[in-house]
Amino acid sequence: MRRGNRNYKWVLYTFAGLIGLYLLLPLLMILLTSLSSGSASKFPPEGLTLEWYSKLGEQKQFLEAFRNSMIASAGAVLLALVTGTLAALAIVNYSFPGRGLLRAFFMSPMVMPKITLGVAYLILFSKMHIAGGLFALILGEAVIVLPFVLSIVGSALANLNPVHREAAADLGAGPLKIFFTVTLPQLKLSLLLAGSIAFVFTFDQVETALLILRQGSYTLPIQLFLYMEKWQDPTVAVVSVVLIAFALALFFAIKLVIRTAPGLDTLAGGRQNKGGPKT
Amino acid sequence: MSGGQGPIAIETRDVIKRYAGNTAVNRVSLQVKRGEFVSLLGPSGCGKTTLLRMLGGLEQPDEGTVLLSGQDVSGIPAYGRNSNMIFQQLALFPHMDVFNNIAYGLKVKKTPKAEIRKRVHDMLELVQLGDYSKRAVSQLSGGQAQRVAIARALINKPEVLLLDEPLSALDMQLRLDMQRELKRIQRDFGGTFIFVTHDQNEAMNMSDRIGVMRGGRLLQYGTPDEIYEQPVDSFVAKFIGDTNLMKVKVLGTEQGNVWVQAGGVKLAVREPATGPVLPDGSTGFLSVRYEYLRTGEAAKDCVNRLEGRVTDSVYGGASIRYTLDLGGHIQLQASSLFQRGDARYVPGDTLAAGFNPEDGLLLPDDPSPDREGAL
Ligand SMILES: Nc1ncnc2c1ncn2[C@@H]1O[C@H](COP(=O)(O)OP(=O)(O)OP(=O)(O)O)[C@@H](O)[C@H]1O
Ligand SMILES: [Mg+2]
Repeated sequence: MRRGNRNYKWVLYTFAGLIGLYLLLPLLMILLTSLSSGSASKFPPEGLTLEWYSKLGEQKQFLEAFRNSMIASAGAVLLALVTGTLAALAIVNYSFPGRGLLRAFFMSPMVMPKITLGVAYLILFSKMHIAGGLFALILGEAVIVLPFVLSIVGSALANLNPVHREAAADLGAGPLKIFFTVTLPQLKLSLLLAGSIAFVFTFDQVETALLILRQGSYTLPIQLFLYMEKWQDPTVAVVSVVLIAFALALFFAIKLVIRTAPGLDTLAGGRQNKGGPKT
Repeated sequence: MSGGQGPIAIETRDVIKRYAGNTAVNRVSLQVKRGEFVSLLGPSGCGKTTLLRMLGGLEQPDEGTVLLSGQDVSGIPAYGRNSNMIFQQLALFPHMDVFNNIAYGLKVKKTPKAEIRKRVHDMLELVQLGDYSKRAVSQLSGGQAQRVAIARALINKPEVLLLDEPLSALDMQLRLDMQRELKRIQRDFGGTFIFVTHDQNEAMNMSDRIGVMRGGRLLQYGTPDEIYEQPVDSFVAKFIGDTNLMKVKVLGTEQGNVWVQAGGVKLAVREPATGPVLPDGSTGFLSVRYEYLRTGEAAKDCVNRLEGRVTDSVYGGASIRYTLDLGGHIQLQASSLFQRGDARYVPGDTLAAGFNPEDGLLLPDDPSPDREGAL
């Protein structure tokens, strides 16, 4: 009986290990390739060197593209956070005709083929004479990540106890004051969550960017793509590794913020707040 | 009663509130004088919270007016009114510590920082939570959270403090402590308190006046004595204190006593000074409080004498409560003081019972159909 149990566990461990390996394998390959001493992305590498990392500094276009990506993603996320929160406020807190329809409409970019959206943006922004620049990309991407904000912030908003807003009103706060002192602080975590997901999502969005952007405002994924068409050296792998490190750093930073911000863990629902004994 | 003669702090005139067809508050007129402690009492769903929310401006009446210090405030939202509410679920802000919760009202009014600090400190002293200003709200006990909610409301020096069953979630001992505490705070603070509860003892212990509500209506509004001694109908009599209600037929009046028939017996009830309650020949309820129904030796001198079989006897320390079966489907309960050595009856014994005309009360039939008739 005992023996059988142990055998069974072994199977589980092996299985989990294999799945882990499968998930990690591409990352490992990228890492090894980036250290390769050959001038072509070859696997397995012939020798190991950090040469390509040191040469990255010379590739100014990647730095430029990284900066563009940051600007575009941050701009789109901020825009989506503001508009998404406002939309969620209206949809959750007020009942007006067409509310469900409006919600579905705002959520629709999630299922819309991105390439279709890209073509549409290209036509629209050309007419507006802003196509080709980062501003156009920000406008476009904001629409695409709006569903994340609307769904995450919207459900958090629906879970807020309206009695806190009433208490604030009773204590003399007007609607605007209530929003900034009671509603918004309680949404902090959801905003952070929605913001990070949206950021990660827009950062390597290719479809729309490829159609809208012109030379000079290329974002990182496009720049990588263009580089790979011309060169086969491990630079692309090096940039990828740097990006992975960047993503990890972002992840741990968010974790840290959540851990240290007072009250955020309670808002996350980990511990029910005892603000009032439930009746 | 204290403060009974002061000017009126808050008043409603014929307020009505309807929700999707059913009437939560039905034509309630209520006057609360400055400095009074008023309780609104009634069963669950009778409209207490709704009435309180209209007083606080969180809900606007469909009809009627609300007056705060003589000013018509109907239509003015909660943040424009000088009244504060303590919610049934307390509603402390979970993202603020105790200090910031209490300071909220002052911060909204842009009070200088130094003054905020001083007044929050004073409030914490008043509710005896001196060292708790940095505590997270989630780390307070039920009673402490309650006191923070009280402090948060009182710091605005409201004209009227509205309390919606703030003690309902506490255990008995803490509840009694908090009742005393609330009375002390009211004395020290000197404000007008309107307190919602569905616990009649709480209402009796704390209030200058009690409003008894049912089905959206304010049935009676008066001092605890009035409500206890002269309930307007059988519902109020039953709801406040323990009473026997017997369905009776009015026979006639004779020398200031009304004769009624209950089952097979005739009983005399003192006619109230205000005149007859019920016309001859009509039916109504005779109410005799448990403690006014005398038993054994004490029953011998009573005008109305009854005899029944003891079906139950409950020993309650200082008193003992007998259930008597008088036959003819009439059951009465009598609660008498009990001292060691007194005669004690057990189920099966025959026991004499009685009451005097002034201890009985003739009440009109309960108008609502959802109550069964006599006991
Ligand atoms: N927002 C609302 N929408 C619809 N009906 C409501 C609403 N608020 C209250 N009601 C109804 O109005 C009636 C009175 O409710 P209210 O909350 O005032 O009762 P209550 O006396 O405070 O009861 P409890 O002692 O249980 O707190 C109830 O029948 C309730 O269902
Ligand atoms: Mg209530």
